[in-house]
Amino acid sequence: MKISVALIGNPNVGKSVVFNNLTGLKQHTGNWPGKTVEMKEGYFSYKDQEFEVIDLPGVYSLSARSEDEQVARNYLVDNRPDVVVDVLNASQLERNLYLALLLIELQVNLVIVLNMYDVVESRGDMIDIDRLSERLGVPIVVTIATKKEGMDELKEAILRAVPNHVAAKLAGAANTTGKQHMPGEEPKRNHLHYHPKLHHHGQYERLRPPVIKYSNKIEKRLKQIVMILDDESELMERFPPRWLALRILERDPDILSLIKNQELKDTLLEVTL
Amino acid sequence: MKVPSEVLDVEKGVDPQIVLADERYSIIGEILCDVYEPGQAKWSWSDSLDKVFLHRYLGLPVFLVIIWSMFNFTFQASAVFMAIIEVIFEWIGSYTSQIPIPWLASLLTDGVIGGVGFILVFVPPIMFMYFAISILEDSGYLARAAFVMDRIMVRMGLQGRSFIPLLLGFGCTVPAIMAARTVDGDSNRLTTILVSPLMSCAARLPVYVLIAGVFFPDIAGTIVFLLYILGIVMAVTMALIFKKTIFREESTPLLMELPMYQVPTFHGSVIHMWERASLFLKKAGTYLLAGAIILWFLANTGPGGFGVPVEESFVSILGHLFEPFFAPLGFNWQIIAALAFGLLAKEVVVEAIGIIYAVQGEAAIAGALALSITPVSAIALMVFVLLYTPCIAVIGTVRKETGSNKWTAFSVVYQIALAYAAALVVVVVGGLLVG
Repeated sequence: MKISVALIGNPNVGKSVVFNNLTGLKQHTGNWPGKTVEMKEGYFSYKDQEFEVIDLPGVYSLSARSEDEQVARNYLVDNRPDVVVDVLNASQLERNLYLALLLIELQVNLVIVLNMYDVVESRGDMIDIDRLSERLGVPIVVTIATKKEGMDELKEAILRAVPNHVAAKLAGAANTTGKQHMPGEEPKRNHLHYHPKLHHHGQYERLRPPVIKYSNKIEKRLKQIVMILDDESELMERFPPRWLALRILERDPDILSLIKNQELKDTLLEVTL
Repeated sequence: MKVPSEVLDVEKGVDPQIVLADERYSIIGEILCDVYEPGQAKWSWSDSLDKVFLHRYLGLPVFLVIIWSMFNFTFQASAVFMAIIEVIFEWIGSYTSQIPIPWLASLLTDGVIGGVGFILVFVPPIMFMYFAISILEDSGYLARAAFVMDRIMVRMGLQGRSFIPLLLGFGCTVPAIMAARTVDGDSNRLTTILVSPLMSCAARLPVYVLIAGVFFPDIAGTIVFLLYILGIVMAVTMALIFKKTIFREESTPLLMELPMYQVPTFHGSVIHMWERASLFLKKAGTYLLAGAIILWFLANTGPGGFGVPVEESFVSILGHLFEPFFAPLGFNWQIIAALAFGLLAKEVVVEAIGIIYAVQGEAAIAGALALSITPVSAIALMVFVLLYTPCIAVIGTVRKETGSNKWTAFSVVYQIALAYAAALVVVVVGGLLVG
């Protein structure tokens, strides 16, 4: 079984260079089903472990407004890759961190790559990497992808970020014969019937609470929304609850269209900032 | 996408999206205060490069010179490799033509080698062009070029955002048309879909390389450069015409981030080049091979059965059918037939020319071509190929994206009409100039 890794980042941060460095020529290009956006898939192995990397389109945010953003977001939400690598342009931290915050909202297993670190150094800027990592609650790797610097560290960080239940599953995979089917388990990537909490490695994923919290006022609203949604097991199993609440608070049209019960929808829309 | 009405209903005057975005940025700002310390050194060479590349008046000439150099590089670098591939296929052909079964010998020599082998000669220019484009893209220049073009288009009252899909059109028209989804406003999007096919896609390059190489060997790079520029000019002109006649809608300016300049990596450019080449080779091994066999069959079969002379074949009948229509342009029936098959895919134009002349028994296609049309008609031919409907995949995509048979038919018809008109202008003006 391969560990699935998704690569994401703003446009022009050297994401494809990182991807090429990781996978070399072991990659192929395909199309997202029904979409115009091209995707690349590649493989690498590290410490006897096989990794499958998917190169998501370069995006600034994860609102479902443009096709690229929609593709990236749906992939993360529906497939719940084991590890998500967010590539940042280290010299444009402020703008690049925005996407990182959105990924933290999604409660994915995140690894942050500070790419183009040579530019930061040449400018004489200083970034306290350890402190940044602590504040975000995310492991950070510094790379200069064009010079292939930091790639082994990145692979190590990806391996370390693999969630425990997946690692345990992988360790046990050697002595089980064939694939184990759990009751109610659906085929991989059949997103309509796919419950992310039931991770595709066949076990329940425990979402870690995000380190970054918003203001009390916002967090209170989020709790309110989650409470209203408590009985909606289909929605609650499909999406991380806090993320779902954030999208409802933002009036995300894609998410709102999933709520068929008009009465419930009206109750939810009464929660405003 | 339709936005439900309640989404827009912001009673309390606060947009929650903006509140949350502000919240995120304030957290980022706070974290940066904590971990980030700006240095003293200034980043200036990127700014000084932009002063030239984005200069109000210099920007466009610099763009033109860079693109012109790119095509010249493509030609000069690929010439040797093209000659080598040609020799290899000639050598293979000298063996296949010895096969004692005449129809098989002809199928392999005239059909497969004459068609697919002939088209493979054009792999080097495609590879080199993508190598050059990849360098321009990775260095950060291409984004500047889009910026320069955007400024011009907006000044003419056009939707600047549509330049991105148009830029994609240099690779392949199909993704360009699909990328029109990023253009906001239905009529702006439709305009982009309608004019995208006028940008010269990679499949048209072999036609230019063949014709320009035969008729204008010394300035082939410049000729191809001019054709690409003509494609841009026509796309902008038509967009302007559509805008003034069929549609009227406000344009929003393009907000674009200019990436930093970077030294492109050889590795990245080679991967990009190889990707394009392998796509082309895949196409050659499948569709173009099947096309070659069918074309060979049609060039050898007529109402009189199999094995008739090429003059009595279906291909010839097809070519002669449209001959009166193309007579003013000075195309012979071989080229007309090739153009008709070119509606399937533009590579087929070159393939069909290769097969028809091979079946005719012409050893040197270059010589045969040079004798069959005048240089002015050759330019008209390239202009026609540039502007007429690119391929059935594009027609299908236009149908899918517009969801309307009417607009699809319009797209096909106007492009053929435009191609014909432009080619006619070339012939008339060229005729006057030549004497």
